[in-house]
Amino acid sequence: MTLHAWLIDDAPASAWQAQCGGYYRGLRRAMRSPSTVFGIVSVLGIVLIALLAPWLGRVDPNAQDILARLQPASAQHWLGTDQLGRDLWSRLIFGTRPTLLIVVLVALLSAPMGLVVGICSGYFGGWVSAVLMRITDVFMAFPRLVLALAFVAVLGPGIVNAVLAITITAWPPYARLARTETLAIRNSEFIHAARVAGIPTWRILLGHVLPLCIPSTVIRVTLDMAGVILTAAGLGFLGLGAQPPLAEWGAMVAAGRQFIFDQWWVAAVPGAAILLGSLAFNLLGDGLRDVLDPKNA
Amino acid sequence: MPELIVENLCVRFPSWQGELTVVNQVSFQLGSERLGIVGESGSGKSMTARAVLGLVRPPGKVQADRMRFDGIDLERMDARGWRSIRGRRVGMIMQDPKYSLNPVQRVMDQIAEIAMLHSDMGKRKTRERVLEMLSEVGVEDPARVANCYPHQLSGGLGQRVMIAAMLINSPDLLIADEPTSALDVMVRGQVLQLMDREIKRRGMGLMLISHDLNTVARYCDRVLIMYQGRIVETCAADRLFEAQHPYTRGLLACLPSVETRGKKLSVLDRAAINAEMPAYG
Repeated sequence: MTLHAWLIDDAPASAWQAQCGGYYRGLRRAMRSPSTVFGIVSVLGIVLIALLAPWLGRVDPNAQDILARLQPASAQHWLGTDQLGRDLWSRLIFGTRPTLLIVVLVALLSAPMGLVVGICSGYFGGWVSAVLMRITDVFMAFPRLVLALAFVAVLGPGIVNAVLAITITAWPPYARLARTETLAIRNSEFIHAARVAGIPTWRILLGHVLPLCIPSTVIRVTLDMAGVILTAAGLGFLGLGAQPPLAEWGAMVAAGRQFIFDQWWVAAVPGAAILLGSLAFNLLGDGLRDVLDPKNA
Repeated sequence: MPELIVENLCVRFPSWQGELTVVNQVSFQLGSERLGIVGESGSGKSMTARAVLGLVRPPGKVQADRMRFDGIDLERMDARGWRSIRGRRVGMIMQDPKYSLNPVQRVMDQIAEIAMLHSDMGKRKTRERVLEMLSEVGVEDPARVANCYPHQLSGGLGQRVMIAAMLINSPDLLIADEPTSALDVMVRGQVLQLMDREIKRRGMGLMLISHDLNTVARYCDRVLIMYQGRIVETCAADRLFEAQHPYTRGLLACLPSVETRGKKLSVLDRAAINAEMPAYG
């Protein structure tokens, strides 16, 4: 029996086989759409590049060679050099690291924050909901980048502060989403049953409401990752994210801005990377939504 | 034997036409017996049960002269007090197991969670206890069922799981809110018989809420008939079919039987009933 036959068996012999088959079917469904495949491959590629950066990067991304500044692409410098003679290929490769770091940290920090606020607001209702949702509204009323800028201006520039600033601006949509889901779940019979059984409120929230809110939040987080990449690059561009000499795409675009007419590649190379990165996460999120949403099955 | 005493229970909800009294001056006592509550939809039978367990959500208001269970005042109860009663001393079985079981938790985890709340048994012992309980309620392959998610179970099996979850802490009183109306006819009898057997074996009290007169007559000792939020008649279950109140008589007349075969069934004459009822409100 081939692996394929084992995975799509109509009468799986064990729960494990059935589960593997379920994942397999989901994967096959995702693979039907070329854009999802592109998203998955690109994101995996970016992660791999970040992990293998020291081997792929060829030279130290911060090694300066003033005599060879602003060189076009050549055999020695695949993508040319920037204004300090640093190898753009290396800097591009190493630039995946701060970008991924910011994306992952923001996702890990903002999603739980939004879930907590949203679930509490949805479950308790009344004035708890009113207070939490008005706070959420306040955060949503500002354009994201402007609010993040304000926070970075207060906290000081740097990667950690950029993460904090983006997190603070990124959680409100998750809170809204979790609240809506909780409102529907809260009146369902099994929550009543749990209350009748004497299960304490915090256990109901963590054990019965939270697991049902997670799928939609995961999809939303993946879709938002593209936005996070853009915001992070925006902060870097304005000099409020990663600080020199750290290779960061946004900061690299900013540096290339002065030479954009004569040495266009200095800005274009990191710009293309930002485009590709956000596109990849967007397509991945889209594909994930199609697979995980039962209505699209 | 712990006793549930309810005196002049009222449940009110605000509405555009002023306050709406959903349960109106309901009084009853319930010890180690099987009490049936019957009535049409909206007659307040479910709301009565919810009020007893403190599950009426705001803006609903509950008021009673006396509402006690085993000497504990149910009116002045905080969240902690309720937790010590719900699930441990009073269990409740709801209508449809499809909705009353958590869709994303395995049966084992759901029952074990309830069992562990009220006892300090270890994890392993609790799991054994759950399996034992499942086989007590007539589940043939407890280990397999315990590993299933609710959507993998049939309605009858789901209701058995629900009963197991509610009986695992050996409560003194079981409230069953139309426990069989979501099940198909074949399974109904089985589930009712199972509940009946367990209640007799444990010497528990039962509050069976139903709109099926035959069920109540068969599985209860005493019956309360509710109409528009009030108890209109109380009678022994075996005398239900000799009941006097016009509403009860009307309900009985609606039941199809061998004699009514081929004839039109009668319909409740509400005007006549309301005329005989004391002024409403």
